[in-house]
Amino acid sequence: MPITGMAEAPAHGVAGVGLLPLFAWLSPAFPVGGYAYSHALEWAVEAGDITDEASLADWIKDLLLHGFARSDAILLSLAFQAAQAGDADRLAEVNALAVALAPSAELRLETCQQGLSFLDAVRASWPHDRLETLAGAFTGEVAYPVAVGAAAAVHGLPEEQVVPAFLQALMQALVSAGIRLAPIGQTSGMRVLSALAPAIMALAAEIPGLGEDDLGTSTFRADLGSFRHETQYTRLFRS
Amino acid sequence: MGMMSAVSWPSEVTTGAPVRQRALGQVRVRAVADKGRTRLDDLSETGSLRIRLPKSQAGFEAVLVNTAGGVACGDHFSITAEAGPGAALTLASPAAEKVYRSDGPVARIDVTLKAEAGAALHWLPQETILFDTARLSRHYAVEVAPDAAFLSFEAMVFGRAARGEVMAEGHLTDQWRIRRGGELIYADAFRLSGPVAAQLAKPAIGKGAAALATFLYVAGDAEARLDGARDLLSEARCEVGASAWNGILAVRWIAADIETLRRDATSFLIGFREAPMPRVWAS
Repeated sequence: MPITGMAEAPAHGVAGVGLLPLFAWLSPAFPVGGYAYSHALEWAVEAGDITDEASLADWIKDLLLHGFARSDAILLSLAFQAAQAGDADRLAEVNALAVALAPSAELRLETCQQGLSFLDAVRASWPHDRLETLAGAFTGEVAYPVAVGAAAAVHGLPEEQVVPAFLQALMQALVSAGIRLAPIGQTSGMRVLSALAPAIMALAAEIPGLGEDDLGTSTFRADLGSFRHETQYTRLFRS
Repeated sequence: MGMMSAVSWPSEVTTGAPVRQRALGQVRVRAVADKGRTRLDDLSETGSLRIRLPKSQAGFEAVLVNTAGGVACGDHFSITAEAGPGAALTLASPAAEKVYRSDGPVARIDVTLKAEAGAALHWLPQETILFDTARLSRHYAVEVAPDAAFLSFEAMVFGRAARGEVMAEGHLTDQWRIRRGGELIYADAFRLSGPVAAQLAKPAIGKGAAALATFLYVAGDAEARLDGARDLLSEARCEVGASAWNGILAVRWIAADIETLRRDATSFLIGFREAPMPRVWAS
């Protein structure tokens, strides 16, 4: 398969590095500030819905299969395809939809702050001409899944690897928040994550066939929790 | 079988499901400001949807009536309402909309709402009740001028708890797109499909709730009114919360039954709108 952009100078990505950029970008050490967000898990702990390993696993699995993670994976995929086609207008459209889908002030901050930080970090450290050309699509806020999808596409990373890795990174961030908030140990948290792997792979396999009409979440109470988190008395997290 | 009208009245059979032909309906209403008051500018109706314009003390109200007596398998309804420059238009419905069991195509409702410069459009239908195995897809497209105000309240009931009804299976998707001055500012995609009651039992989804509602307010003062909105919610018995950002104020309620939710939500709406509920809500 011909890789477009390889002949371009000066910034065209580095050939022969496989999936290494993906590992870096989705690592908790990548400077997107993910540690500051709990996606309303902090409220769920306060409300007594998450108390142990089993209840953390249930809550997170619903966010994966019926909540923002599934929708974000669809948005990532749509952004990936737009960026791969070099279609800045379509990318702008997908981004506008992704930003507008944030259901509350804090969840909007969560996706937009991480999206912008991610894009800035990739542009500074993994520069690519095609990403610069497409960056015009982002005039204001940038949703996190859209930033990841666009960066991955221009760097030639395979979508079928990016989607499950992204979903696992979202889940890992939630597990990490759960460990900090509830009396749940590191080992319990990692058991929750490893148990989710088959569900992540099954969901990821469906994503490339899905489009805008398939977007949708039913995690109404988790979203309501993010409203309530705004007035929660004790807060470690920004969402 | 002879020719039948596309619209016929429901008839109860032993399963409790109405048997009838697919219903189609379209309405369009446009209100404009005229010498400081709002009056009707244009009205069109086809199929089983009608608009009534009752005399109202509190501004211009249009009441949407579905003469098909509910929504069933494969029905398709379209509603368009426009508030012209400076007009104040409130839409309501005279009763809860019932969505019956379906073993066929998904019923569809399209709602197109427009608040032009300086206008106020309030979308206040009564709750939608989904019966077991109901299948419904709704699309809302809203355009709000930068200096206009848009307000909506939508409640959904997944089986009437007070009658021991449960929506075990079914399908509901709600797609909302709100544009302000042409820019997409709010989108919501709600999707509950398959084993509805089992999913609603999950803590992240409904924690056993059977009634959910969302209020939206898009206006220049949306964020400034967040504290006031929270004060109005402080006595609520439902699980409820409010958030505001980017000229949008949203409130959500969750309750085990619609009666509790309705009591809390109407108290909020009366306070927030500083106006009584549309008269048809009381009847």
